[in-house]
Amino acid sequence: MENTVARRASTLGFKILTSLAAFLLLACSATFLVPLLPQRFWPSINYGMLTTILGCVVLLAGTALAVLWEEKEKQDTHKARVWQAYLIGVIRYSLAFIISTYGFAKIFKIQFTTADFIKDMPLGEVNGFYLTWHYFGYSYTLAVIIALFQIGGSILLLFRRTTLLGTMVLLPVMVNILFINMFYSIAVGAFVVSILITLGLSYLLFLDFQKLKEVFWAATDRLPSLSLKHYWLKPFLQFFPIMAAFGLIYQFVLRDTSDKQLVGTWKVAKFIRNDSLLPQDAWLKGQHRNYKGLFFRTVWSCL
Amino acid sequence: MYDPTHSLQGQYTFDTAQNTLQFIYYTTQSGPDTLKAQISDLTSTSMNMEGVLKNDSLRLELVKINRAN
Repeated sequence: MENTVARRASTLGFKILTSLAAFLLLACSATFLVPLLPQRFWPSINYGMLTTILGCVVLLAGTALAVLWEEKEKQDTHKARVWQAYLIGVIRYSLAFIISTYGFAKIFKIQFTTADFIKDMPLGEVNGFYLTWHYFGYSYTLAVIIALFQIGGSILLLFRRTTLLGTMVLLPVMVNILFINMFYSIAVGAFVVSILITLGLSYLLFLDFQKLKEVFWAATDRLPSLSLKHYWLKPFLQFFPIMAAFGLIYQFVLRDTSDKQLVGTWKVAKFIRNDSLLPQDAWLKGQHRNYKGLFFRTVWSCL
Repeated sequence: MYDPTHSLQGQYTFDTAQNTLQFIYYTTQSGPDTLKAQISDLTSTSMNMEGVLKNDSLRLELVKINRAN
């Protein structure tokens, strides 16, 4: 691992990447402090302008630091490594702050609370953001479990010995959150933060690439390789579980003879019961003996 | 808005050749029961349904609702 980092530290590209990541995550952490400003300042904050200024500062400061770091390395390699350790420390601590903030927000119910007027909306009309909020808010226990992963993983990021473990705990959680933010139209700010966090964690993972390659690819279970009588049998058996799973499900698709014509929602436009025409709102007055609509879903339906 | 407490839920079979619908539902009060209905003028947007449910003869003109999802 030491060799890997040292080799990468010798390139200017790696220095620019590290410096920019450190400044970006530090700036991102700083934006989390905006709500601490007195409320009278909030309306006057131009978030577009703030983001642009922070972006320019990060770009300039990150590049300048990388160039200085490159010069420093030519004079004193050890000091340059110390700079690197500081910057990676900034990345780790910023990530720990940002991610654990989201963890505590879940525990104290600042995240995943849905306004009552949203709960009164028909499910089909609720947007992706509120669907997600209500879905995760439905179980406080699940929210706390996710929070514990975020806080526990963040604590692991604080120590060099456990940084890789923390990264491996947090990265699957964050990739999941990133995809939810992306495909369920969650707020742009949250989406950008989740991208930064995922990139930051990927960077930490990348630092240990050789170590991970050794564990996940080069290392084997030390048991003897099995040889079967027929050469084709082994690859067949290796892929059999996946093929069997596909076959099991696909046969349901092929054998599906369920109705396709009625499936959906049908509104009652005119309702005649025992030769008497009922008014449109009859279902409201006569309970289930007057029908508002019919819902068909494959073999299931309701009136 | 759909209210499960004021609805009849069950299984249906639709015979496309005869255009007949059989809907078997279950209520805690009266146990299982069946609605047999004749479907006519079926298009992608509307249909008519005629049948007997309990002691009532029903005739419904139905309009399909298109949903985004």
